[in-house]
Amino acid sequence: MTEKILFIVFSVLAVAGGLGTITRKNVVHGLLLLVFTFLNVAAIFFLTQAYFLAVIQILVYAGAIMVLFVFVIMLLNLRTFEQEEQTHRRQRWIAAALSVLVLVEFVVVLAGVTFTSVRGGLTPETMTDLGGGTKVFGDALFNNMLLPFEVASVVLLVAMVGAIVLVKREKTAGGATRAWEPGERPTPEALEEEV
Amino acid sequence: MVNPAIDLVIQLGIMFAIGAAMAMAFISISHLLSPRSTNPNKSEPYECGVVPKSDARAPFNVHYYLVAVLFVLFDLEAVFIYPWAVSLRTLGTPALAEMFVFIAILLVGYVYAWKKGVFEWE
Amino acid sequence: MSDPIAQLIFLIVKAILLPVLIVLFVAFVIYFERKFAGFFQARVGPTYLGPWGSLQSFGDIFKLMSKEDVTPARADKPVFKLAPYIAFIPAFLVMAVLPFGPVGGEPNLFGYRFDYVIANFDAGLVLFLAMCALGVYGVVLAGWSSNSNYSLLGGLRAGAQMISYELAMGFSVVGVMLMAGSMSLVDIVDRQAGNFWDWYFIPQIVGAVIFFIASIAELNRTPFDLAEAEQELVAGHLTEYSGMRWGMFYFAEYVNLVVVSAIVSTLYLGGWRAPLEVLDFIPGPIWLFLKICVLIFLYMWIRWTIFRYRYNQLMSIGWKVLLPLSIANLAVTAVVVSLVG
Repeated sequence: MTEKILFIVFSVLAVAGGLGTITRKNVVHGLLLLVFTFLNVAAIFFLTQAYFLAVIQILVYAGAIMVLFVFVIMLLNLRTFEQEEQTHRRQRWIAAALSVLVLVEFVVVLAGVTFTSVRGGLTPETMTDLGGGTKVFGDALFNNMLLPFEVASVVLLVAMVGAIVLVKREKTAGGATRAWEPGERPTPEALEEEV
Repeated sequence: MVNPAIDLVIQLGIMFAIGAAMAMAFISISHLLSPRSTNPNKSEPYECGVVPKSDARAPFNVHYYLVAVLFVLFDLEAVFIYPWAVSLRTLGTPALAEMFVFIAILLVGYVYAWKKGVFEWE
Repeated sequence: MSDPIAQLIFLIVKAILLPVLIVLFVAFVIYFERKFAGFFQARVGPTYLGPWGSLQSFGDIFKLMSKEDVTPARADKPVFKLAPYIAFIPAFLVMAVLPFGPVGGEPNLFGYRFDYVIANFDAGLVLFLAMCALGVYGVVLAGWSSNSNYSLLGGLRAGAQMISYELAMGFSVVGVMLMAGSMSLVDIVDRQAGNFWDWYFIPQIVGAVIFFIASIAELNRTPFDLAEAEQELVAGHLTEYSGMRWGMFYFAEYVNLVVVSAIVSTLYLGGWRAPLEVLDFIPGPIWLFLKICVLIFLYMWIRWTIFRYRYNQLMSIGWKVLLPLSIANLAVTAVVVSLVG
């Protein structure tokens, strides 16, 4: 009973945060609401006894990926960003149609699934006997999911190299990455940005 | 206090509530005690006495973005390492070799970033 | 009275007592910081309020509360008001997973089992890292929302610094996880049972030093306090804050200092355990408190002795020294653990 009430509370908060994220005009406000959603999702993971997953949800999504988003938003000029949003009014209808499609897809997929534990018999009690959820997760990851795990490292490597190549492009052309052209005199603002 | 998961949510929830309550108490007491006066000059951002010309939120050095990307990627690596560290004793030597391969692949990226001067700040 | 109800009462008592005691202790930590600063700089420090000025912090809190709370006109008001809360609250969730005495076992209080921890679960250590990660928001959002050049630069610098050192921190604790075979802080303390040579700071000396250095950067203290380098950035992300909102950031910094010291002692210095088994008759919370005091003194000593690093030096230390060292420490520990078993 308590579990159900808590679940409903956290899911309502999570959905509210999600709705807030897509309706805010101010990008940073939307982003903070998304962090709020992630924290509520983490609370739902706690309720399902997936403690490690819950903490990872906070550490990776709320703590790392969203920090990257904050940096990206600060990197872009917010003002031009808000203006661009006004010019793409027609995209709204395409987006609405696509989201209905995704919703139908979700419903169809979820309707066909019965939620039982994959390897059977992993009740909360047996999990505790096996040394907690984290241990069970570690055993599964390194025994059965070995290939996806090693592939993940290659994916991370590609992402790392890709980001460096994209950002460091100007460096090879000579001189450091700067906000102004080589011939131009730097404005005081641009100088201040060069921390 | 029966289901461990519900207990945990309540325990963490109480600590969150206490922290928030303390913070709110400090701010509201301060609201009762503090004076208030408005003045257009006072609400300007501090610029050592110079009148600010433009919005401070201008684009900044792209280097910060790169550091944030690398942070996310290494953080993900760490997340893979944690469950491995906990169950290394039961997993044995094969898991050790698997993790060394994983770390070695990512170290390639680390060395590349070093060579490309990502960690150099002017 | 049934056991669940007793546990609920214990929970409420613990959840109120622990934060209140820590916050009271913080008031004295701030006083001692100023006294030590005076001592290191051949001054006297605060002297007026209370005996030897010991009540100075309470006077300061009252002063801050009676100061005007100015919100700049150009600031993003909701975020500007939210940022102090984001800086303040995560430390309280870390207190929940912090063991300050024995957990489990026989009933020890009026026939009921009193656990000296608020929340015991198998990912407590990662919760601490996650809360560190959330702490970045307080600083970055404070800097962004103020809409002042100094604030923005301070917030950015602090954000980049904190995420860089978070990595070194995250990798250095893997050594402890490997040795303890657990991420629960309660288990980690239990594995360090015995005398002080059983504590993890001896086999994990490299990890402990990296963790300690990274924690200084996480706390934004000198020599890594570039976020508020007053000679260049006025007060960094705090430039536009005044009154109690500024006080909250200041206070959060010291609450974090106490909590991080407690985590360092839990991970590497045996937590609440006595240094020698014969001293076990002294209760656990007292030992933990003593270890916290020693570590806080160490943090203060470093703060008032070492100069602030330049920004490129700071990033080099984080990415080129601490990160590879912590990964090497991880690899060596893993090999030893799987060989010895």
